[in-house]
Amino acid sequence: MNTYTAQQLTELLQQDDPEMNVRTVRYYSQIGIVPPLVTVGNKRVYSDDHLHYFRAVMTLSKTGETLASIQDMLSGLKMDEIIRIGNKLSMVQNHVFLRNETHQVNEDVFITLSPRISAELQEKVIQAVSQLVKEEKKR
Amino acid sequence: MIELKLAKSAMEHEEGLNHLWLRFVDDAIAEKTDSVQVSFRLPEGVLRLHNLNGFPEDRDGAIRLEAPLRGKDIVIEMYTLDTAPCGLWDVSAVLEYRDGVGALRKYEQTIPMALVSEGEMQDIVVDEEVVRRVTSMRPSSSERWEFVRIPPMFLEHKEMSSWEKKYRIDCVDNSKNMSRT
Repeated sequence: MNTYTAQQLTELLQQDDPEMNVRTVRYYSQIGIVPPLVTVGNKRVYSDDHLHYFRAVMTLSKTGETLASIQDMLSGLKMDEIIRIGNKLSMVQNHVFLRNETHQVNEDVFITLSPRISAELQEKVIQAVSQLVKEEKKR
Repeated sequence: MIELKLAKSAMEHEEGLNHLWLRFVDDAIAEKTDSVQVSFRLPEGVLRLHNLNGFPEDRDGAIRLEAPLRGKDIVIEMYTLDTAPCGLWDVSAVLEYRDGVGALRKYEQTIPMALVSEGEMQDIVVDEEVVRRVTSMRPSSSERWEFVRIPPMFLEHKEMSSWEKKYRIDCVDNSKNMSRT
């Protein structure tokens, strides 16, 4: 199990969001937004689970949710679901969100593409995914 | 009149974060006035952000609220950056308003808050009611900025530059230079 101090965890989170700071990491632990620290030896430290929780909280915060509703959303979720939410963090970063285009194939399938992808390739990707979805529906 | 509560009874003197919740619990002031100005005095080294409610603040950080006041609240986020002096300090809310005859009234209420090292944060008391209020607030889409006091700078001119001598109308040398141009 990886363990981290508040400073170390902050530096990891800053790779996703440079605005994260150590005082926010500490505070969210103190007021119960993330689970309590774990005790290793005689020290209380953060673990990889905390990293995943913070990334999920940061992702949902970017969508405008209150901390209270984020707590409700995350409570009861399994860790793989929390990890999945945190993995969406890069998609909700303002500069990414504004830069990329999102195409809706249907109510269940969305494709987000960077403008670095050529228009021709974008079209091929959308057509390929649309075809796969159609074939799935026919089954 | 008002109630002051802190999310945490203590905060770290370095890289710490806390919230102060001010609530108007009755209309004691509102009965006397149409509006009240609220400002906050924080311990040395403790800074704050713009209030989380999104109320406009003037350049000194004062917030003006209109009556009725009962039930209204203000939440501010306080933080420390570099090392602030450890100890038990007061956080104050200062209310200023004009009463029924137009006289300026002032009311101040304080709440103690400890600034401690990170290692002493184990036994702090967290006020769940304040936490519920803070976590229920939607992230403000309006501007939030750090409230930074910049002391005024006074420049003293002991000597004038050659350009000042040339173009200042009260400068003795000016007439000589003007005639050359």
